[in-house]
Amino acid sequence: MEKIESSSSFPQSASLSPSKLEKQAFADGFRLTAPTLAGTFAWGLVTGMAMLKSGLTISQALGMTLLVFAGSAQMSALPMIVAHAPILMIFATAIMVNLRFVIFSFVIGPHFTHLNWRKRMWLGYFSADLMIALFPRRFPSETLRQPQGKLGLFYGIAYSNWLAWQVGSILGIIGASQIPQSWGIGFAGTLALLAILVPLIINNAAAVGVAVAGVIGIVGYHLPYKLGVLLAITAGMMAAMMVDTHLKDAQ
Amino acid sequence: MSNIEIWITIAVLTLATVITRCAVFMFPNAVKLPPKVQHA
Repeated sequence: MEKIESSSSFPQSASLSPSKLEKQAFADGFRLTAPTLAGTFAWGLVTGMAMLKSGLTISQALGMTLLVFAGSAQMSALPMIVAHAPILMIFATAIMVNLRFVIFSFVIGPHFTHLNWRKRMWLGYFSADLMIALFPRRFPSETLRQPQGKLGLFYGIAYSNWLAWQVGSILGIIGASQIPQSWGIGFAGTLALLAILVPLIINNAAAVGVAVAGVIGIVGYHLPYKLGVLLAITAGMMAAMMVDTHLKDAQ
Repeated sequence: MSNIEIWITIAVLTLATVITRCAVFMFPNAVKLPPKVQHA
């Protein structure tokens, strides 16, 4: 299990030039992301296969994976495309499924307020699920005013994650008819995500938050528009906050 | 769905990604989370 490192262990600008610091941060981002790449690749592969098997042409599937770059939203939209659901309903579903990114970006976004809007938009597009798991490990909220190394770390995580996803997805699109579903590749993706998430349970409050989110996620699995995901995240956060407050009061 | 409808759906899904992922990045000062929620 990897030790959680805060920015205090990050090389400081006193010893490295800004460009070298960002390069090193990029390499660190890649190193942090490396254990998850096989899982991301597997998820991409499954999504690529699913797109083709839902009747999309190769160009449409490639367009979807390169532009949308959101596995859960894509997977939610595919059965609706097959069922000829209204486009507005598909949009509403994608927004609901993606609402977790709004919560996530409240954590990541404030670190980049010093950049211009084009760059912030670019970063926002790449801030997928993995970012919330990895970026705050190196740069917690206490480091908001310290800009050094953040951009490099963000790009290191984002680009390696994007590349693994796209390569997997494109191979899935190309090889949709060659890879049997019985191989259970999607489950490998889930296991890889678990390997990242478990080390994030750093104290009792986090453990309670994860437990509550897990239970609500399972109970709410069949809710429409994947509302269970949003409910689970919200309930998990609230539970973690309550336990954190209670433990501090007790001290 | 026709080809054009599928392409519109892809555009709409892209819009959903951009809206949800970029909104807070674009307008970071529009809504501030309480520090306790941010920490959670």
